[in-house]
Formats: sequence, structure tokens, C-alpha cells
Amino acid sequence: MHSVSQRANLIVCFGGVVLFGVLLLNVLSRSFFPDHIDVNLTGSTIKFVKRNPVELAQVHMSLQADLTPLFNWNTKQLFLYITAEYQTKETVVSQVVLWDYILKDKSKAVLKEKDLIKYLLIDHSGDLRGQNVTLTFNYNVIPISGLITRHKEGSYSFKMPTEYIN
Amino acid sequence: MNDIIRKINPFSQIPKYQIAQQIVNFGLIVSSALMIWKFLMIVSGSESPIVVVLSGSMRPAFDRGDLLYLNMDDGPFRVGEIVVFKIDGKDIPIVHRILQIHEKPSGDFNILTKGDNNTVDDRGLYAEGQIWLNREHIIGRAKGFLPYVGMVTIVMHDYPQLKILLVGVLALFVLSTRE
Repeated sequence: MHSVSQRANLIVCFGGVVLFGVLLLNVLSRSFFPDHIDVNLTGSTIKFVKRNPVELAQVHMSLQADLTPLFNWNTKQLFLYITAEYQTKETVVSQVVLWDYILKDKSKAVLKEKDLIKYLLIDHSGDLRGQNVTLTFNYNVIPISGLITRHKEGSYSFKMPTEYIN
Repeated sequence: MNDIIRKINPFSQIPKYQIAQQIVNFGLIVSSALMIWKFLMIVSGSESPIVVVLSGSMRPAFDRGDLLYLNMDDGPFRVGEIVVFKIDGKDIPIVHRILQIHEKPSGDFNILTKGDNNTVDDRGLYAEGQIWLNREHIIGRAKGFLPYVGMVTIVMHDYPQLKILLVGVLALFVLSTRE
């Protein structure tokens, strides 16, 4: 009455529906995990030069954070990054990543970093002197399957120097 | 001769109205697949709502054969977002992360991207003389992730004969099975 192909078809279809259901439950389950973290972030400019047509600044940052609560059964990796946000006469908002790090290991999730320098702050407007810069710590959760989310926690503001520092 | 053909031909035993019904069924499957795709396009606002990752430049986050769901609305672009963009003169879209963004008062923006697994930013990948990405280059931002599912497409892309074979077998299967 039921051929092999019909049975195979039914198994594949039902299997697909079940897998999709499990995926949905998995995505929903994230809201039951705590996701509050405490972040302490500071920074200061240590080098600031003009190299036509851009201005370059080296920002020295320190970061303390405990990211252990963010690791649950659907966390494949965390992408951590610190952004500098500022305004110039040419832009409404400018954002530049100054540091990033891929965190895969829960046992290394307690961060106590003192000397973070990775990327330079490069601006093309030539209007960086004396601007307010806000540093923000962000993390991007890459799941094993499901939704990719971004969050920000903890920020620190400072003023760019009015003179270039060599 | 006609007898032999009649014996070999799997369709000879089936009445004509049933063959017609199978063809309609086949058309129904194809058109509903198209409808789902177009519906996803409307929901996501992206011209290509589902993409398969083709390179390892975003390892370890995404690997070859992973599936991404893209979407185009909800708010302005921000640094750290994973976007899919297309460079003028290149066919294959690229999935990378935004490293810098400068938004102008007109609402237009300049974006610089970088792959997590690459040591340098993407300026070398852009078209000659291009130093920024703009709105028109961006296809969507990655919102959902499913591992391995896109492997089928990668295998079929690498061996195009397999695609023809698979479509042929499926078509024969749909046309020749009876309820």
C-alpha cells in the first residue's frame, strides 16, 4: 500500500519539521539565560598625527569584563569589539573599530586587559582635533544555529587633544 | 517496435489525464518554491534573502556551506554588523564585517569592511580606485545562521552535471509516481 519512496518522503518531511521546531525552541531558549555583564572600559590618546589627507590617532585602552554568563548551549563564539564614535563637520556619526577579538573559550571569558591597541583611529575629514570621542564595548553573539545578535555594554568618553602629539 | 517502446516507457500504463495531473503537480511545486522565495524577499527587504557562505574569510564564525538569512530594514548600519555586499564588476557577493562607517548628513554613508579571518581590511577587494562601500553595494545584513545546510548548493556549484542529474531524476520521479 505504501511504497518505499512514499515512506522516505514522509520521514524526510517530518524530520525537517521536527528539526525546525527544535531550532525555534533553541532560539527562544536564549531569553531564559542571564545576559547581564559588567564592563569597565577606559582609554586615552597616546599618539595623534596628521598625514595628509587623513588624521591618525592611537588610542590606548583598558578593559575589565566577565563574559562567562554569555556562554550557553547555543553560543558558538563571541566577537568582541571596541568602537570609537564621534562627529565631524562632514559626518553625522562616525564609527571606527579600535580593537576586536574572537572569544570561543568559556574558560578565557574573564577579561582583564590593560594595554589594548589594535587598529588606528583613522579619520578622513581632518576635523578630529578637540572632538568628543565615545568608546563603547560591543559583543556579537554567533550562535550554533539561530539568530545573530549584537549588544553594547559600557562606554567611556574623552576629548581628543587640540594639538597633535608625536 | 512499438510494443517494446510501450513496455519500456514508464508512462504507457498511466492514463493521459493522470499524466496531465502530474505535470500540473510539478508546476505547483516549482511555483510554490518561487512564491516562498518572493515572499521572503518582501519580508526581508533584501534582493537575495538567503545566501550560502562561499569562502572561509569569516572563519571561525562562518565556514563554507553555512546558510545566512539576510534582512535590509531596521535602522542605520552600524560598525560590527556582518553585511553582504557586491562589488561592481564582480559576480559573487561577499560576507564581511563593518570596520568603519562614516554617515553623512544626507543619509548616505561610507563603509569599510573586513573579514574576521583576514589580517587586512577589504580595500584590496574593492574595485580599482574604490575606497568605500556605499548603500548601493549592500545586499543585506546577516540576521540568522544555519550551519552546513548550504553544502548542497556548493557541491552542485562545483559539479554542474550533478544539478542536471538531480533535477532530471526529481522531474521523472514526480511525473511517474501515482498517488
